[in-house]
Amino acid sequence: MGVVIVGAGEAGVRAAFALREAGYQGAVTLLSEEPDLPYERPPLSKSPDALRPIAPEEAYRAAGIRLRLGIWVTHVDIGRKRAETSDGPLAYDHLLLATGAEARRLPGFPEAVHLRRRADAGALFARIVPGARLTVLGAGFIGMELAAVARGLGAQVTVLEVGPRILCRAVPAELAALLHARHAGEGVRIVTDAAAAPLPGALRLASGEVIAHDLLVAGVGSVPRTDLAERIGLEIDNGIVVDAGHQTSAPGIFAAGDCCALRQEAGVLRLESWRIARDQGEAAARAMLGLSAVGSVPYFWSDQYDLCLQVVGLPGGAPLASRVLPGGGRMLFEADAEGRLTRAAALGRDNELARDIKLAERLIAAGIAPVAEALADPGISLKSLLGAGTAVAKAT
Amino acid sequence: MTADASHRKPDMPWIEACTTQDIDEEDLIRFDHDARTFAIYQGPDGTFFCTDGLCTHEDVHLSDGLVMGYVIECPKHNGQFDYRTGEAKRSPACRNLQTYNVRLEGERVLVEIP
Repeated sequence: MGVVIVGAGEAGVRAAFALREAGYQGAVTLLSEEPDLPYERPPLSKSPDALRPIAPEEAYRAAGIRLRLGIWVTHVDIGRKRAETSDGPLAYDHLLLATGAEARRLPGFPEAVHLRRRADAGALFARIVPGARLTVLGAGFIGMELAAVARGLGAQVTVLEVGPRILCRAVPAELAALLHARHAGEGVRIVTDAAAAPLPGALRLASGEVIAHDLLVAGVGSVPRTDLAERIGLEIDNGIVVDAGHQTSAPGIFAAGDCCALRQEAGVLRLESWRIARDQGEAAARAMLGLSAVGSVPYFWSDQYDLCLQVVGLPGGAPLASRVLPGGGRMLFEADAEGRLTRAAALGRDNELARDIKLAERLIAAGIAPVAEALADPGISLKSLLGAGTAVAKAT
Repeated sequence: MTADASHRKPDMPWIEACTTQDIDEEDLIRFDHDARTFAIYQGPDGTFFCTDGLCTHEDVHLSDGLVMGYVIECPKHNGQFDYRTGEAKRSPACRNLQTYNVRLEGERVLVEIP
């Protein structure tokens, strides 16, 4: 008995350690269908050779976490609280589904490869050599990070995007335009509003132009891995539906990370990012033990060339202010109808924006409504608004 | 940690890193010395501290991070350390930071670097 965790990405691994940190004494079994020691995924699209374990092997032993690699779950008997695995049955008190997401497949492009796992990255980077012609379908994070790395490796890169601009979904237009210009300056060809038809070793655009490639990569989003959850009858809606405590529709079964969708008043919200997966893993672990979660604000980052993009909060607010960072970077703020900060997004060199993003996260978490002029004034420290702004928030 | 000068060993030189004016309260700066890199902090009470400059999770310099109280948060992945003791306080940081003794001579901030 004890806790069985299905999936050893960030959410699953974090949950296992968080159980111990919270004092859980029972058995913790962490199952991974992949053969590798659980590894960090963000570097896969940022660096051709980095493989970083989430934790060293000794850390699992020291924490009493039973890590089982190359094992997957085929079925769960909810009534008897038993998971059937590829290596026999496992009884559980609590089950956590942390099955992640997989790359969305683009129908009709049989040559397209995807990037999600270590093996994908290895196969892909082996083909990105000087002079290689790389075409990327989709100007999202995977596509744009890969474009930057491939340019650094001397490949010729074309990015095709069906939408009107790069990073359409999660990045404010002003910052996306700055990134677009940087990619163009580095020699990446970006075609937006692009409709492409596959040919052998090439794509034909609507204009008739044919773009030949040696490697075609599709970075067109991800789909949650819900097959097991569907098979055992859990509620699914763009992910395994969970409540604020990461409880699924079946008692004793929790879900966290890319595979889950949080039930909100206005539907469900599925969030994908490294830190959100970790925070959700921790929240699910604590919920199993009847403990409250430590509050967190959604956050993600992206590295392209020497530029770093960081976004904290959720979209939906209205533009409030724009700030120039000391190193020349830009930071944009959005607020809700009451003036409370809802999102901050920044683009700058290396880590110049990290401190201000962390302070923005605290302003958002505290529900502070800062004065727009103060946010826009680089001479005013955001730290000073943490105290001062509270009064504003109380006054509204 | 501040250290009494009488405890110093002859082979542990005190290096002048900066002046007290160079670091705001509850803030830090980067200090490079002899191919090594450090972070020097002023706590909210005006006390100075020194740690290794790079986060123990990944080679990211802490000088771009945020100091709140006696905690430094790594600019990249939100690992946290108590910079007085070097203790890793929040995952993904799990290894402690090395700390170094600091003492003041007037406005000069001296760090004991072995």
